[in-house]
Amino acid sequence: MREGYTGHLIERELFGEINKRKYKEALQKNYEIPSAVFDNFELFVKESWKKISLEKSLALAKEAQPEDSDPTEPTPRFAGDLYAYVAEELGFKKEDDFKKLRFYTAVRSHADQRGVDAFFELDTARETIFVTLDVTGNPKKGDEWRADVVFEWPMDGLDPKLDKEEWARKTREIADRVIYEIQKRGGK
Amino acid sequence: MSTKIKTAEELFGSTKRINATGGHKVNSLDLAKPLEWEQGFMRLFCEGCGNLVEINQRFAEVIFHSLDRKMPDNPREFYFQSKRCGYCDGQDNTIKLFAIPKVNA
Repeated sequence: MREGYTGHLIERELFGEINKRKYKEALQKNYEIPSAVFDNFELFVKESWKKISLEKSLALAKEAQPEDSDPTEPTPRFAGDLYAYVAEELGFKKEDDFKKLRFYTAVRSHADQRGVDAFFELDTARETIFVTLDVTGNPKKGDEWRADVVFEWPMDGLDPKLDKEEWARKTREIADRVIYEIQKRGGK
Repeated sequence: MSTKIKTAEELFGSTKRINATGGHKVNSLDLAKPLEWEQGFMRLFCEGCGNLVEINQRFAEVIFHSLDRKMPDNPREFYFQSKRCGYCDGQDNTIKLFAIPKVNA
């Protein structure tokens, strides 16, 4: 017997290639996954992970903004009202001022992995600063990544017409927290 | 859809899904790297948009279960390759399980 020529090696020499081919075929078979697996975005974000910096994830979210969206006139209503309050607090009046403040949604983007639902971008004299936002039903939840402004919102919603005062109060409160974060970064 | 995602969409709107152009190739060197996420169990590569993610055991079990397939004894030696993922707009639900190619150091 040749040196090191064991029963295992003989088996592999005799049967190895055939088994390997069948094994490979079995592995590469096409399977149809139920669409629900990838349609369930929350499952995908919670149970998967990608090495990506916050800056890169925000840049990707910016590239994926809804059609016809304008970061200086964001929709839906809440985003628009929030933007208006923040701009007002910053003392913006002229069109050129508004260009310095931009709002982007990050819902269903890579930034979700970082607990970011949306963010403001503000051009200051020195740099562009970011303030990230996250809406939650449970602000005490111990996530690894937290946005700068994490706030509670009634999960059954608020109607800006029916709950006018509460809507304005909450939106202003969140805008104040955004301003506080801007101040911390020397943006005001 | 969860209440949290629904609320976030109502307040902020939603990003568009990444265009699944298809034909992306996975880099064998990336597959050979140790998993970095503390919950990391396997990898999933989307050839629709080129996204390579680590998935945890729960997600791997969901996939194997949905395929009515037994998990291999050595799952870390395999990776999933799909035509779409949670971030892109692909429509093809095909998924394959591949052995991670051996890479010489």
